[in-house]
Amino acid sequence: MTAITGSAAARTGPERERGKLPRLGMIWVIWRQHRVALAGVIALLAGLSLVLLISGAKIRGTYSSLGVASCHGASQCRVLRNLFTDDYFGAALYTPRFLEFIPGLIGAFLGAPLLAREFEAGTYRFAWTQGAGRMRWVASKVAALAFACTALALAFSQVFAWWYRPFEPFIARMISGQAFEVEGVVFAARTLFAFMLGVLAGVVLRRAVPALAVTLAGWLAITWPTVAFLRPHFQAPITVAATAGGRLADWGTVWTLGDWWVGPDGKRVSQSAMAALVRRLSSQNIHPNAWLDRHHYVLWESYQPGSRFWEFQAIECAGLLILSLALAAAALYWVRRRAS
Amino acid sequence: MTAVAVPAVGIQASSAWARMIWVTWRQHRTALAWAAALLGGIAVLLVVNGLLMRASFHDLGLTACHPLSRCPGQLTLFQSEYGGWSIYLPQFVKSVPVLTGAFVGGPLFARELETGTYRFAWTQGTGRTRWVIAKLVLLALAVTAAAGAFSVLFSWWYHPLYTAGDASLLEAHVFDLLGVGFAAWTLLAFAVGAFAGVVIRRVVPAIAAAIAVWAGAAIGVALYLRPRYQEPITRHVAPAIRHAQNLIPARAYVVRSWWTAPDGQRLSTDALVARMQHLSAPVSDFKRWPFQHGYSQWAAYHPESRFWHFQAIEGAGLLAVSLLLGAAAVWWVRHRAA
Repeated sequence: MTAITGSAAARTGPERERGKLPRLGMIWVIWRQHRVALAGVIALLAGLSLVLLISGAKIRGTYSSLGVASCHGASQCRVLRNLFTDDYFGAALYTPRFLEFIPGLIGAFLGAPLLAREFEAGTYRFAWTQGAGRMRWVASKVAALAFACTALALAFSQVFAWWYRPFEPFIARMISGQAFEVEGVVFAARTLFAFMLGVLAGVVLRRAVPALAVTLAGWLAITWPTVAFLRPHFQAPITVAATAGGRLADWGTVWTLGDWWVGPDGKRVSQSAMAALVRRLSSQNIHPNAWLDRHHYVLWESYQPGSRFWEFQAIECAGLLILSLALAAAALYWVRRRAS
Repeated sequence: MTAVAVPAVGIQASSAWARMIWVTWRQHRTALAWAAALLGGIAVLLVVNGLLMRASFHDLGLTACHPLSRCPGQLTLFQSEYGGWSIYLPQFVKSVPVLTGAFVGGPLFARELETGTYRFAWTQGTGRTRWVIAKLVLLALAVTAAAGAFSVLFSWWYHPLYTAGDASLLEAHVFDLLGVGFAAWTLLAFAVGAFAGVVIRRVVPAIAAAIAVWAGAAIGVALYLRPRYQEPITRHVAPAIRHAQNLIPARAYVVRSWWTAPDGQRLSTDALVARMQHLSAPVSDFKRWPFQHGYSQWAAYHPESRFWHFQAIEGAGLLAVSLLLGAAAVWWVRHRAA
């Protein structure tokens, strides 16, 4: 808080007399007030990046020493590929599952206390009357920190994308909880969304810790259903008869959404009817798969191909951007009309 | 804060402790209510999903199927319906201990120190040491008990998925959500939060520090410490290609695997493959070649029967660290926090 009365004002003396604070002075104040939080975010992302860089170098070492890229013949290629993915399957699977929580944490810890602390401590009365009006203070702060955390998240996504690249041909990165959540633009968009949600929660609740808790809960409550239930339907999935040789060459990288059986009459067989049929076959000691094949039961699968990665990224990112703008507008409106 | 004005002079030591229970409840009931709401909300989800899953398990006839490998068709149907849950839900539930612990523990002392109310609160008949110890112990018991009850429910939910799958209980995916692990990790998050609050004296940084330290500890333990709780069993995986059946028991937690060359040299799989690729005559069959040329594969693993032993080690370790952090917080309040 010292910054406001201290050198910022002193350095920009003439402007202050005109009742204006230059943009750069404002940025300096914002930096002074939030440098600890920003330094925390930078330290977290830099630390994680360092781990990814070290591990990425090791992964690339294995990849080239195994000669996965220069294999000859389908069977040899498969063995090499399996060896490579066996080594790092856990890492490729669990790393994004852990990292996907980072946007919520960064956004909530940066956004929720931002205005809530000023309200809680009562410093807003003083802070928002310094040189610039309250709208200008709030808008500049929100914009500057939103830009900072989104840019940092975007930069981290690039490091992760580099780390993940060797796995790209082998693992379905679009599956919920996989690389999709950390690669591309979705990670940064979710950080921005969490931040704006935090700002609004802070303005409305006026207390930092409840705002923080509400932001984390709200972010999870929006993100998790999007990942699990909404994203599979961003575009109509492709359906294919799995038992009729309809499998694709890149089957490993598609995101399988579900499967169902179609009977010889061309109608879909319900799960319970199928269960009863399979149970009957087992009780007669008939192996179900062969019997179903002989009797023209066909297993259909629906999936999203890996080639839709960027389309899906764009859809989710656009949705989150619109939500974030709406949240920012609501927060500013609340400050203008309600907060006194 | 109203609670503090309770008779302050001439109270008996035992009744002072008893009164602290009431004070602690009054001051922290909102935080406890939120923690209960979080756990309760997820508990409802677990109960509903668990009942549906059990109904499906039964309808498919899997309950009457011994062993389950006799019914591959039904097993596939069950897994295509509920297999996804076994991945997503544990991952989501893993964030519960840290959030509960950090949000109850972080503000516990940091709020008093940040707003300055500690000057008033710690001078009310009950001395500051008793005040701090009572709050630490009572809230630690509350969050640990709630977490313990929740993890019993989680084990109930997970059981059909465990039966239908082939994953080991020792794997990092679920190990710390079962047994005493869940409660112990919640206690650790609480203790880290309380200690960070005393040292940092500000609520939001204390919560952030608790989450960061907890995540670091959880990852470190899962990757580096847990596999070393006991000496793993070492065994040939496949001594020769003729009987290449897996010699590791089902649901074992494999820590590492390697090869030995005919001259006794120890090689990683990658090194072996690199060696095969650099031979003058190209190797056509990577799978058979090592066995035909006197290499053998080894694995070090923990059998699943070690589950409770590992749980006891991890639970005791986390309890000890939490007690140390609690003692450090009390010491800090007595000597540093003015």
